[in-house]
Amino acid sequence: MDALSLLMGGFADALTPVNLLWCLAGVVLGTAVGVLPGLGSSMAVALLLPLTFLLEPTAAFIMFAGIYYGGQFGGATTSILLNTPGQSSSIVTAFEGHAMALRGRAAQALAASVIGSFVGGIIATTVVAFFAQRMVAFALGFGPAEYFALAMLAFVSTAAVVTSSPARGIAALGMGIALSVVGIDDQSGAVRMTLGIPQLLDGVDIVVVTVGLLAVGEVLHSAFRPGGDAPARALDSGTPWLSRADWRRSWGPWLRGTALGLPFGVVPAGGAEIPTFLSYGAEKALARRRGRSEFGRGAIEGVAGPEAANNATTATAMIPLLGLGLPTSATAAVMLAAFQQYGMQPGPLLFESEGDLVWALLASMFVGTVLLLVINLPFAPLWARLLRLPRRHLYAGLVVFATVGVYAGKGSVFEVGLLYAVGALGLLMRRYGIPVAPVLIGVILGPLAEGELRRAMAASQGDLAILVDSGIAVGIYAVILAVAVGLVAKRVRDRRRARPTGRAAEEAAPSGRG
Amino acid sequence: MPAPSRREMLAGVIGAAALGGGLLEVRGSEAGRDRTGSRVEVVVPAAAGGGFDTVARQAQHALRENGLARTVEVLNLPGGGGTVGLSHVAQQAGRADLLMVMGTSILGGIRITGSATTLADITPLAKLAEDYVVVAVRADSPIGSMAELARRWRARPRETAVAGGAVGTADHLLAAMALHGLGADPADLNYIVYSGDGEVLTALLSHTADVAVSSLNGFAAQIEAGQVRALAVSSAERLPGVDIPTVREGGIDLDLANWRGLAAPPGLDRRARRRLDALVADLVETPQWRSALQRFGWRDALLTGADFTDFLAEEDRRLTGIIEGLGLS
Repeated sequence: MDALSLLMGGFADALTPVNLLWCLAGVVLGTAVGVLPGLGSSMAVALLLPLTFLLEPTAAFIMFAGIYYGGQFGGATTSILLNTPGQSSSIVTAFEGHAMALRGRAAQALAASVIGSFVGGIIATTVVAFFAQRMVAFALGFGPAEYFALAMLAFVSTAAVVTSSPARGIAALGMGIALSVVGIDDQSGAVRMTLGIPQLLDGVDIVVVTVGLLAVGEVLHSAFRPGGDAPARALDSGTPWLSRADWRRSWGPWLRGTALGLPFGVVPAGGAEIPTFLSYGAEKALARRRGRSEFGRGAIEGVAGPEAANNATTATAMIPLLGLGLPTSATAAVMLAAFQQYGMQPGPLLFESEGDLVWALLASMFVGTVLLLVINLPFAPLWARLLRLPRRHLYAGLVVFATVGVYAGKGSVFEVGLLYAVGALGLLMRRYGIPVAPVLIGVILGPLAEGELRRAMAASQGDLAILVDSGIAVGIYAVILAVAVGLVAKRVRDRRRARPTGRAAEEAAPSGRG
Repeated sequence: MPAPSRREMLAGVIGAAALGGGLLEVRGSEAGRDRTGSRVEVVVPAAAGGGFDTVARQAQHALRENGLARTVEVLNLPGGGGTVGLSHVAQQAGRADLLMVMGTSILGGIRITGSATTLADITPLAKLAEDYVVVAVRADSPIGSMAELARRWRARPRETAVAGGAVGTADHLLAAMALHGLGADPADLNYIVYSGDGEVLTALLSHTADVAVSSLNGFAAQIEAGQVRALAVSSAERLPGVDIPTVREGGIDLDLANWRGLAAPPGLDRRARRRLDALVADLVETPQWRSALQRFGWRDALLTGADFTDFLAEEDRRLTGIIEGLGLS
């Protein structure tokens, strides 16, 4: 109960009017930054670093943490409404979330995502407060072999996206992996596929690929389509709130998403994307088993799960940051710099040397998550009304948003050009019925799988046995095998039924169908 | 339904514009508001949050607080081992209000990427501070000292997995130079790249790597807590207040500073050069900069003018040899 009394002390600090105000400023700014594609929370925190010269540490960290997890709340909004993820951890949300929006259920999708983020955030913060030390030990059980196994698991669980047309899906995945190898290779320093263009030395930004394929590609596709200027769909959906059935369908995904997200904040190189993929795959498989899957047409489970997962990840990312001095994300890295700015050294001794600060920060994360729920939930129906704009106006705004967002990231016109080139690719892919989702999966998971495999090989001097040398890795491969067997069995069953009509075509492009 | 939707559309557009504008404002407030007064732009050829970035932000604060410049804008231009930022500065010939942070890793970056822009295309101004690389093992490792590591490493270089920062950084170069110094082929270095001290630390603690090379500053907390044993530090002499032997004491004739300095665009006239030199001289005297040195564990290593140019040429020659030996350039 020692931790509990320390946490209560933290609440006393976090709930002072001044700190409450900084917390509010942080979460509001975080939400705004999360909404705008291209501008990530790491950039926002970096821009605000000079505040550390003015503020006392507790206030500064309360605000920075607010920006960090606030970004995850905001990221889903544009995913759902505009099919343009504000953060890469919200890519999966766009698949089902945007489909829901197209069916007039944008408000429900937004509500499911906000409440999911809340559930994930609160549970994960509780875990941080009471089990930080044990989670650190867990994180150290992960080496390159385990990360590689995780990447494989994420590939397999998202394979569901491509099963309806394997050849096209694999082609798209290959495109994603090809895009991901552009630039300087981390492990060897070799320059790969840059065509001699110096701006490509750092590779193609995930944001550019995501926004280009999903947003710009969709806009171009709609512009080239006869009747593309049709008025907005009627999107009145009766009640703007979650119905009883929505609640019943969402609470399971929220909890499962949280459980999947929790461990990933702790392990570096995991990132917030993998658990969202896993949650999506799990919910899709579960829905199919229950025999009334809405996946592909806007399933609320596909929004609720991933959003809970990415927020849980963000909260638990505080564990390695505070307990080990390990930043597991770009934003955490900037926050680490802020600690050094104050002359503090995050690490095993921080909980003792700066106990007051740490507990006030953890308490503020509870407060901030509640604030985010209160701020964001009433906005869900309001945001949803954005879709009542005539499509050409909405899309014009979207292009402006995408361009500004990408330009703001690095201040580079080249990136904007690249954005439109990727957008043109997105147009062609839609035209020829190639799904775009696997490209994004390839771009995110490809480098992770490659890098970790090569690290594992270096550590073992080329002995492949290292890949199955630990219990964790073997466990993950067992899950992969089970999933793969399930997929094959399903295909065989489907083929027996032998009615390869409508549904396959519909699933060929699960995202970006406008 | 044109009538109601128009009002909403307007609201939506205004909302979007306000949001976008607000965020641009965040950037803009960092940018120079006052073009007539003294304004300095500091280019960081790396992402926010790293070592170069910290140097720039500390300098920004020190310059502002002491009225040495009215506005100081920090511009992060990451990519290509620092060469993206470098070529940006090289194209701004004659600008007397532009500084760039540079250091050991940019020398490596230039060689490894085969960049057409080199240090000859900018005006190096000064070396400001030095950080050092620490060679460390887990607390429970059988390797007890640098001499023991050297014996094991020389005999079977490939069997010792070394984790460290990106290719071409001081971490990587130190590991390669140490192996070379032991008489082994640096191409046999089994080096596992991680981004940042934090990841290097996990690789060490999770038994992925046997040895870590990383910044002393980044490992200080773990060394103090006893999770990590520091074998050697890359400074030429023992650092004051740091109870770690040097690499040289461990029997390898080698020292390497991870230095950070400032440069300016090419083609400066004499007045502009004098002005920037004076700015640097004032900067290092400010109490804010002094305090930054102390907080970040940087050693004051001011070197300017011809001394700095000579140092750069020597350092470039030394590192280029190693990079070629690694088969990287």
